[in-house]
Amino acid sequence: MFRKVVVQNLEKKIGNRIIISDVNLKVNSGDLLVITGPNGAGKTTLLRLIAGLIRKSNGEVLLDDKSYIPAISDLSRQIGYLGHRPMIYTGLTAYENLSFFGKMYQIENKSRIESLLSKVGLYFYRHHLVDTFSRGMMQRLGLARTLLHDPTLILYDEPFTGLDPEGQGLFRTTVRELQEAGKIQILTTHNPDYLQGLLICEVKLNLGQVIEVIQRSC
Amino acid sequence: MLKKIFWIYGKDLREEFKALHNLLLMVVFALLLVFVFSLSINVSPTASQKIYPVYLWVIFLFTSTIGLSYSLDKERDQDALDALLLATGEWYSIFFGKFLTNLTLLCLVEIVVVPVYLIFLDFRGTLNIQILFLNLLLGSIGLTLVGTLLHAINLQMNGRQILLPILYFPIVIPLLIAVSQSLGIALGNSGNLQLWLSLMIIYDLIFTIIPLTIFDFVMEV
Amino acid sequence: MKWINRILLICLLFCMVGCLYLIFGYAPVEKTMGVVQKIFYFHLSSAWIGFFAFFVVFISGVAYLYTRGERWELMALASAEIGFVYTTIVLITGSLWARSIWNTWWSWDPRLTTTFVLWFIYLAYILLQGLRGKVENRARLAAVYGIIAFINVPMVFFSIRWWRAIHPVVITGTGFGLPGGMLDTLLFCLLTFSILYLYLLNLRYQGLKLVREIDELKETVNNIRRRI
Repeated sequence: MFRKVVVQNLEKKIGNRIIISDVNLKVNSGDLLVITGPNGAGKTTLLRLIAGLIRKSNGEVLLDDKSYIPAISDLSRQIGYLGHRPMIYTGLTAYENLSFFGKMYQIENKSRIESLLSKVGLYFYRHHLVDTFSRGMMQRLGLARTLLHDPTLILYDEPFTGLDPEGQGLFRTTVRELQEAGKIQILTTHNPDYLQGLLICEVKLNLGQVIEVIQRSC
Repeated sequence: MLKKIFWIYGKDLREEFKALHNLLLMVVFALLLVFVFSLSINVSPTASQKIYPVYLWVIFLFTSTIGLSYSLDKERDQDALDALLLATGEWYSIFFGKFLTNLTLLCLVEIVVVPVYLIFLDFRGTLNIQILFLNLLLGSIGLTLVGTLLHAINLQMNGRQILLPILYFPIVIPLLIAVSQSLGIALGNSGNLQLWLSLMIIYDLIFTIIPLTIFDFVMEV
Repeated sequence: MKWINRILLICLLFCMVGCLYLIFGYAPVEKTMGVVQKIFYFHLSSAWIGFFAFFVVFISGVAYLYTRGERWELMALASAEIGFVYTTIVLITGSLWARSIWNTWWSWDPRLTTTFVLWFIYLAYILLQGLRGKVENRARLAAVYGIIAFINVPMVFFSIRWWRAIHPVVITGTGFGLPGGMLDTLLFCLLTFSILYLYLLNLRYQGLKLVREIDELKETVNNIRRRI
């Protein structure tokens, strides 16, 4: 468990191209940080950098003053990441997916998996192959997978893609609950309107640089 | 770490046997190759004993090349690899889990293909089962270790499928020579068995150590 | 770095002339093979560059993985390209030579075969570097491939050698002790070709670096444009 995430002078170059330049952020427990910006602003890259899925060129990502340098380490296991795609196996059923990831996190717990599945509205489809799922259903399963191991830091990359209004409502409720539970959440979106009724800290990103930081409620 | 390897392996097998698609494709492909090769090489029985071991391993090489693509592509399909990576916290278990899956598939193909092949070969000599078994096992381990590693490289490059054999074949040449020679011995050719077996073992060991030291560099994104 | 190349170029000019004189004027004509044997000096020297360049690819690969410096990446690529050219020369001269003395265009002699495998490895390496994938991944993975391939080459050589030892179909070994005149000439050729390699490596390295700089400038211009 850690209580804050600090990003210091984070920079990412690919070849000679600067993707992220000199980003400084601080997120406390219970905060919801929303990264907005046009296409190609570097939102996803920033999120993946924080998750440790790509190597940074310069700067630091600190989880409670602990540097997160070897991108992948034991600290990774306290991070939940919902990517652009839901990061699940299409050849397995919904239940098998969660049970596999549960094993990897050493929390194989049938009742937890089932309650998560019913929470995201997939309980009746739990033994169906993910191949047969629609985009929105996969996204819901992805959300369940992200929250499965009760992570401290949760990252969402464009979580609203493919979700119906009901799913969006479900997502908002979940985020609020997690906020109350003191989790650290970071989310990217190009449209913050989806986050109605949530207290957020918005970071506007363009061309890899932070332009503006606003504290507001949607 | 061992537990994680087996969990990943178990997950893969479950996914594999649910559809059987991949395995079936590999077996059909290998059988077709057996057919085409036996049809096209029409040589005298004495010469065939020298040629056939080589072709059998060429068939396995081709089959493993097409079989490999699936197991890691599955991980990439919905970006599940990233989630798996965050969950394991390291790469090695993923590599060896994938290795075991690929190895199992290749061995299953071999179980089907080898008898068929011997029938087509019209093999009448005495078959040294022990050597055959050792040969298939050591050879498949080597092929799969190298194949999994190079496929991972190709995957990280967003390379096309055609690149894999180009990377793969030059590296497996020593193994290919060793396995076809020792298979020849199992089929009754003369030769220095000890030499080829030790070459195979050394090759397998080297390509177990290389991923252990280098796979971090391959997969970091 | 430019002045180094100038010095190398001057050395190279003298050495090349000397080398040609030694080969055609000083070294004795081989009795059985005749004048064709002269190809041997170029053949062996090219082979030396081919294999040494691969060693440089390996070393640069290791250095790249540790330091992530762009210079190692460029060094490896430059060396691979030169190595590729010289292994091609080895194969062609080897083939010509084999034709006149073994009466065959190609023999599966261990050294020639290993060179052939090396040629394919170079090709794979260059193709890998040429892919338009993610630029950062490219350098790293090419370095990894270079390391794997380098470790593999000795195994290729020995496996082919043992294999051929069991089936002695072709002439094993070239089978002539080098008389003094030939040995001197050969050693001088090796020196000359080493200088040639260093010169080419430096040249190609500078060239690749310029390409990178141009890319960088283009990127800067694009960034400014986007900002406007």
